[in-house]
Amino acid sequence: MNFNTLFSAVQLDTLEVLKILWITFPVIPLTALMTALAVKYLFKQDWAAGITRASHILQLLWALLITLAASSLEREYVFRLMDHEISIAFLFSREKLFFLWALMIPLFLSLFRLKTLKTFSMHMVFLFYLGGCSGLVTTGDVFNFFVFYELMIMGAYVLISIKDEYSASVKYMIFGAASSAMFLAGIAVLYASGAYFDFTYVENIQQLPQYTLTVALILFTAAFLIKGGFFPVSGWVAPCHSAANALVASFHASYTIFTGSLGLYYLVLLPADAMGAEQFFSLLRIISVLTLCASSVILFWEHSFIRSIAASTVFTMGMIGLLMSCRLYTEAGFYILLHAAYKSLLFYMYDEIEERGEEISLSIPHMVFLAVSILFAAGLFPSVTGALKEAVHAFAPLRYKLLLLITGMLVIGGFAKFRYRPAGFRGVSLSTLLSLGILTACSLLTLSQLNLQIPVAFDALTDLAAAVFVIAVSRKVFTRFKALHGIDRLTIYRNINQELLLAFSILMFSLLFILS
Amino acid sequence: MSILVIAVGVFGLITADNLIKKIMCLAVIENTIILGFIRAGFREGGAAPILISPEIITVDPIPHAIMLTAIVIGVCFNALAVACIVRLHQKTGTVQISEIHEL
Repeated sequence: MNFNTLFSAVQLDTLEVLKILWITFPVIPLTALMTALAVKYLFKQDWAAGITRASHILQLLWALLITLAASSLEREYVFRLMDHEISIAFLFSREKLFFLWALMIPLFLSLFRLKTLKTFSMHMVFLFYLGGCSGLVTTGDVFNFFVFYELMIMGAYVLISIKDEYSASVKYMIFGAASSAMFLAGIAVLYASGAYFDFTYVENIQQLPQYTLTVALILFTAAFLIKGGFFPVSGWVAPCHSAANALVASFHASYTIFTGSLGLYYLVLLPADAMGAEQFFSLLRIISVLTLCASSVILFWEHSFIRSIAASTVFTMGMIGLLMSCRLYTEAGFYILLHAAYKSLLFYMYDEIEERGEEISLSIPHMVFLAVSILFAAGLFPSVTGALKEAVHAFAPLRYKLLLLITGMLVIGGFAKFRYRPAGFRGVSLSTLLSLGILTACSLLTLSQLNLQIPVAFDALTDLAAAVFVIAVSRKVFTRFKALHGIDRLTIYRNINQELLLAFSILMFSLLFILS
Repeated sequence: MSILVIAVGVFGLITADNLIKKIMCLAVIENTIILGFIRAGFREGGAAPILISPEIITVDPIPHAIMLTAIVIGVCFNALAVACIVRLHQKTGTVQISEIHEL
């Protein structure tokens, strides 16, 4: 029995059900937040943990029902709160399911780590943050995208300082606010061009003044390149993600940073495609290639293990940017999904291993999990991300093949340079095991949904041979060139002022590149 | 004029060594954008947007309504940022970027 027949049996229209589920999805954590506050201040009871857990379970159930309903419907629907063209709009599309599940994966895993949110106020901030995250997936208009983004990011500012690392929080805050100012300026210019705020304005884009629209899209591009941690504005990612605990870091690395690509997709690439403005795709391709190269070099010279995990997110962001610039949106969606799984696995595993300088003490199962995660992070055979990368080879076979092989090797080397010491068969936590299970499920789903090219024997052997070579020499290269340790902090990211200068220079570069 | 004020804000944001000054520069940039947005909804000779008769030209109320939300968000951000800077000051004893190693 499919979803349509199931609902027709109880006389419900699938589309109506989807509308209700989609609109109420962000309401769940916010209602939970209000309930917990009411219970606390009216009845003097602290039910925060229980209410947060209930909210998570309800959201997971909602996400499952939405996915089931979507399987029997077409690609895209706009749901308006009122029957008016300027009403608040929610947009459902198949592409949004990737972001929905990129949020649901860390949400599910967090069910087993909620005790790491020690205080009532942290639970409340977490629910507030989830309200923003959920709204960002469901919204269908530009201004509410801004509002939900701000809700999410304000929660994120506080959650990052969960271990009293206020400097990371302040850094994230300044970059978040600078990019939000660009986003808001873009909305103002978009309004001045006469466009409505809902995403469907793209349908009539040819009738709008093209010059003004281009300026709005440039401002959006700069804002989301900063929010997405693309090079050269990626200096904040490693310190901010590594400052929080595993629960918070897994959310930031799996979802928060990828909302930058969500914004790029809906607010830049789709309108640019409708306008026939190919320059936006070229700009994203250039920045993504730079991000891949720079992040892999930075990761190789990073001497902290947790910062290496965080820095590998920037590498993935570059890969997602490259896929999106080649219009491979479905491949990018699956990449985001897989990344959410293996990054959660890495962060949860980090909580269970011991790091002393460059020496990592870990059990045999952890060692196996780490090897699997690193293969996925580097995108090498036999991981599914390796097969996803093959899709871009069609655009410039030799150049992209070389680029992805070299940068992938640097990522492998970035992790292989640490000294690993086996520490018997210590137990593995449930959340780590579940992350591995989710990674396997996501891999199988990707393989079943996409007609992926299995690398020919020569490519697979090249990948393996290069990986073995890099594993053998990375430690020696790393210790020999000590002066290059933390190369990013010695050169481009010396202080926040220099990073801010880079943030505004990316805006100027985008402006000059597009308008020229 | 708006662009000039934004440029002053950006200059301050990039060069200021004091975190409080940085937050103030961000507020300058954001408020100028908000004013610019409200200006975009202005109609020459337009009345207040209360529809007494369809013939009366009114200013566009959408920017006002939307910018109220943006102002609230801005105020929340400023409060949160100052709270975090106070905590950072308690921990490090300074708000100067050049004296905080992590920044």
